[in-house]
Amino acid sequence: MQEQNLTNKLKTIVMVIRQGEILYGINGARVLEIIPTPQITPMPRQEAYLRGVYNYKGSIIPVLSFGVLCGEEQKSQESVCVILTIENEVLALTVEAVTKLFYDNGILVEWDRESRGSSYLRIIKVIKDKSPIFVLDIPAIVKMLSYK
Amino acid sequence: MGFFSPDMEPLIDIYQSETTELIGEMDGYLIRAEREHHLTEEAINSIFRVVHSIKSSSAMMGMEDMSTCTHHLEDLFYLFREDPSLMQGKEEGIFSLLYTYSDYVKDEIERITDQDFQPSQITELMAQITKELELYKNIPAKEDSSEAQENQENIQKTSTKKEEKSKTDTPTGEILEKNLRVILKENCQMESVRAFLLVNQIKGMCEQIAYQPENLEVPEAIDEIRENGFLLYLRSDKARMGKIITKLDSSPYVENVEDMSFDESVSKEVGTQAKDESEDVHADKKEEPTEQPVVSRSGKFSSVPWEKIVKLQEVTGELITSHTIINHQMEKLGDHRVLENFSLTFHKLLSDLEELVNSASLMPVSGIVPQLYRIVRDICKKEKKEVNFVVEGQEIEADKNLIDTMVNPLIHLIRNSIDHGIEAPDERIRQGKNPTGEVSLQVSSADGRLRFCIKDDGIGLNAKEILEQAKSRGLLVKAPEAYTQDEIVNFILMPGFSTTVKVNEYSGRGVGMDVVRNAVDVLGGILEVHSDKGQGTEIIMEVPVSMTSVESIHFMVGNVNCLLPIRSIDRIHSMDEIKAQISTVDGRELYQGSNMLPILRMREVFDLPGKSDQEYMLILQGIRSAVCIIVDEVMGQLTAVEKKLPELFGSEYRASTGISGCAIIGDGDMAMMLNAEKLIRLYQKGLEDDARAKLNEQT
Repeated sequence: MQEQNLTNKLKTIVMVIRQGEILYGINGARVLEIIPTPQITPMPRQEAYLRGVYNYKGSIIPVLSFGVLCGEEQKSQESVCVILTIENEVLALTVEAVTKLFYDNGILVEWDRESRGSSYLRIIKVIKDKSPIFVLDIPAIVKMLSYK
Repeated sequence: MGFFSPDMEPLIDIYQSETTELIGEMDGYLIRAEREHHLTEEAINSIFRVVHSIKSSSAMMGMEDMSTCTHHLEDLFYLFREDPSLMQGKEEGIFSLLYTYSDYVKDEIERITDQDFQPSQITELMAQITKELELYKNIPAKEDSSEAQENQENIQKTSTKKEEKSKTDTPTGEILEKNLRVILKENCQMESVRAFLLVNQIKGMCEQIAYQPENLEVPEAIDEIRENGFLLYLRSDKARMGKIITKLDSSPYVENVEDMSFDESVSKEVGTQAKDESEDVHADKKEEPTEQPVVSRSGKFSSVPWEKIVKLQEVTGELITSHTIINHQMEKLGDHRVLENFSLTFHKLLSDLEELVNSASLMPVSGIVPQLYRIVRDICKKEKKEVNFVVEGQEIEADKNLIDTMVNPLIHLIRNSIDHGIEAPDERIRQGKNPTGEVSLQVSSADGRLRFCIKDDGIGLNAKEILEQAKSRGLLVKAPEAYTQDEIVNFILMPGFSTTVKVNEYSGRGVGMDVVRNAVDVLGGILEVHSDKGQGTEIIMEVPVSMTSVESIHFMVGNVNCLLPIRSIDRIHSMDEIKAQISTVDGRELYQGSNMLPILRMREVFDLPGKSDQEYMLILQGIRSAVCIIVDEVMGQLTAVEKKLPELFGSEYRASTGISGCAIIGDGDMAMMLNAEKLIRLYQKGLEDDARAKLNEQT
């Protein structure tokens, strides 16, 4: 299912990721957690967009560099890690920053930075905004990248 | 879920599991009966019990169509139970009907967890059952109503129904009669189901039992139980009456049991349903369904959802990992004997726990055998072939996950055997063979490995055709005449390889062998084919038996932590010791030990530059072959729990690196778990690539 259709159908939040000057959106319903980039173990012979693997709650999950996926060189400034679920798989994306969450009808939602603990995800108020966001189809990207 | 009421949703899993088990049991009797062209009395009784149970539980779940057609099938088998000779000469029709019914139930049961589940149409099945019943329509029907729901009369003290006693053990001592009102706990939900389960639990101890509401399968029963309680009339000897009361009192959903005389009119008579059920209790050694949770309070065995076993395995794995980390930290602390004693005790307890958890996850291979027999039967019927299918080693137990993974490959291989291997009876006679082909599955276990061998006495593989196809696909790495028979037939293991021109619903696309190879690859096993034209084919799958934890050797390749199971390692040498025994042939290093063994440098495999000052060689022994790997530093031995690699690192990645999984070690770092068979295969692939390149240069 196209990510945009999924978002529309679920009427859920879209997470906005700032990568350099460009804002990208991903389906917020897929986000399990947002944490500081943890210790990652590189895998031998891994592709450039992979940073390695991470032990997430007992399961080994791949960690992808969002910047490299978007065509940039990998940067060490990717200090935020977004844990996503796609189909039955969990993976992590390291990004520069997570800035906004909004509903697909253009309503902007901000989170409370003070109450986050180890997770950034909180919703406390809704305001209106019409920022242009590039909503990415993460499942399609991951499918394209999958090793055979 | 749309179809089931919220009350019923918690029971769907149990209903699905129990019905699957019942149908599997029926299939077992059916397959045997069809081979013998005869249903024994034991089989008839068992099938009657199965359909009766399915009918009742389906009605309880609101699956009216399934309950209705099962009821009619039960009517049919009631006749056979009373007079088995009725079936004579009509067995084929009955077997066919039962198979159709079995397929219908399996299909419905598989689908009931779908979000949009709706029951299938049963018109055709009902027509088939009715047609069978018609054959016996001159025979007196069974006594009215095997169902409480067929009795629509108001419950009267004087009933027209014949009083029947349930068969129980011979009562001893004083006979008591009790009228009880069972009050269920408020808001316990599914009151009629709970009442039904209570009756099932106690009826075997009663000489006579009656209850109100009598029909527990209608929605109105729930309201009646909530308002008036569940009324029971019981007749039994004193000793067993005590047990009955205790059982009712101890039920977690019973608030209170009141001893009282009936105010309402309650029949003392027992319907044939209660009679039949109580007979079945004694004919049937299986445990009756119990209330949730599904752990039985009596008997030696209990049903535990498989998800709980898996979770227990995962938690045990995490405990073992934590113990490894604690051990590592303790080594850093130096001499702390108290902690060492604790660690030893902890290790012992963990070992015991792991053994218990592993044994809980074991199941015998026999669990999957009925579906294999069914596959054989269906294909033979369709293709008009005759096959004698034999399974040896059914009693061998292995991890349920492993056996579940092997089911599909086995089905594919058996299909191939019959479809492409076994000839039609006429053809077999022309070749001087028995018209009935032989297909066998031999299961054995040794040295921590499970071995499946599928053998047939069919036409065998055509080596010439296989070689031609391999040549046309550019798979040859040496001159065609240089290939041995075994090397040629093993080309069929390549993806999409098929020499057959006939594609049917069962096979022919070359996809089946992909499934087999992938399954064996994921499990870290090996797959071999042996065949001679005209003589038949033998396919062997050997897979390691998976354990929660693995004793492993920890070593480094550059900065990469690596592990290999100790069972795969024959010897470890420092390179300084054995330098003189290493030679180079055609650009490839070989080690001269007792045999000439190939060498893989792990830095090259992992594409890591540089070289370590101190290197070690590990000699790995696979199931059939061996290989030596050169690594940087050997750190020691530890207990590791292997975790699956993410799907993003698929079979090609695993094949090109030899990595099968990851494990957490000492400092909480992650290590790559290597697989000896993959490393051996990696080396062989390298040889093939070199040979192919050389061949291309020459041509």
